[in-house]
Amino acid sequence: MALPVALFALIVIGALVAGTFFAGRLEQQSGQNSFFAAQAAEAAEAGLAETVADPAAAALETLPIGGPPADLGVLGLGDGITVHRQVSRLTTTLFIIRATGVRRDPAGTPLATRSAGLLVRLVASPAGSTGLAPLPERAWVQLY
Amino acid sequence: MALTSIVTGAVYRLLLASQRFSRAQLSQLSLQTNVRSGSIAALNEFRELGTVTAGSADQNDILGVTASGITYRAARGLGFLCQPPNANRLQIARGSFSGYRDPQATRDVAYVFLDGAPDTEADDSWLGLPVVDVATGATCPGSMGAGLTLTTSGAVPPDLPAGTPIRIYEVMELRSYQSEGRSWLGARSAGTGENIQPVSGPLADPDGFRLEYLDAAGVPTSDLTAIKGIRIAVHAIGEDSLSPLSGARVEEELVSAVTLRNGFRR
Repeated sequence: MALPVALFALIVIGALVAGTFFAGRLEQQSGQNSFFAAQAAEAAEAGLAETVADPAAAALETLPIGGPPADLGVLGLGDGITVHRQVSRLTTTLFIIRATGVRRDPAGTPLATRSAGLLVRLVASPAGSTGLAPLPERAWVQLY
Repeated sequence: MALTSIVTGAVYRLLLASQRFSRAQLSQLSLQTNVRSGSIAALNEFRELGTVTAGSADQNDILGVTASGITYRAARGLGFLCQPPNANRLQIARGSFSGYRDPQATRDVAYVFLDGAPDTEADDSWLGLPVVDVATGATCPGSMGAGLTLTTSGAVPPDLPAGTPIRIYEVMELRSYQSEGRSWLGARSAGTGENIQPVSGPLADPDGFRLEYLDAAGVPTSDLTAIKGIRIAVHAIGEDSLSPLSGARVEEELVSAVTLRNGFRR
């Protein structure tokens, strides 16, 4: 009699432990996904900042209005994190930079992707060079 | 018989302890999910807000604040005109629209970018126009494909070029509130007057959701136009208020901070 009772208890405890382990695993993965998403979002931010700081911005003057975007390529930020940047010309003075940050696993499979945009205009410095400057208000955009 | 009784007693105690442990673990997991989802929701809503120090009401997206709530213009999407506006109609290229959701009539407002003099940014501004109708039937000129036509309640400047950015926002309220004797973090679209809906909870009383508004130096400020960052604290309690394992109160607090991306140029 004692043996069946003990076996029954072991089965029930095993089920409880398995349930707890499963819930814990879900929670751990959920937290990790939030972390990957944050890494991808920061990569997109870095892509925007890098593009604004790029002195080659003057070349954008030749972009056609409403035409296809200029592809500025992919930047590697280490640890499986990359950012892809594009610039489109909206009007004679206005451009939008789109940056898509991706966090990948070691096999190259994307774990999280986030995109952000920045509305910018071409500005001439007093020294005569041309650069990009974000609009003074509401320049940053969350893209989906 | 005696042996069976001893084993059964031991097994019963073991089962009881295992069940308490499992419940305590699940309660903790649920709590962590709760504080994380509340924080993420707030961070995502606040990130795109814009403020202009000493600027006008139109320039500032934060409309009202308390220690446990905030009313603000929440960004919902961005698109670009595919042709100059016609009276009070804005036609956006469907393919250019990127948003949390599509624009909604009577709920959303369209912010139209006004470039002013093209060689200076000093006169750039955004004109807010309430959206009274949204239609998807008309197509954009040339090969730009499907269009999204927004009819606004106000007149649109006719000389806007194709490519002009249109931002969509709605006025939202995010705050803690009481329901069934407990505190919750809730959100509602303030413009439509809808009831508040739960985002996460239950929260600890009386300060389960705390907001602190920071200026450019990271110092707390009460000036809405000077807010450049927001510190968010979500303090949740378990569905079972006491831990089945230890008998202690089950609670968890997560503090996070967000820099307003559109608050730093002016």
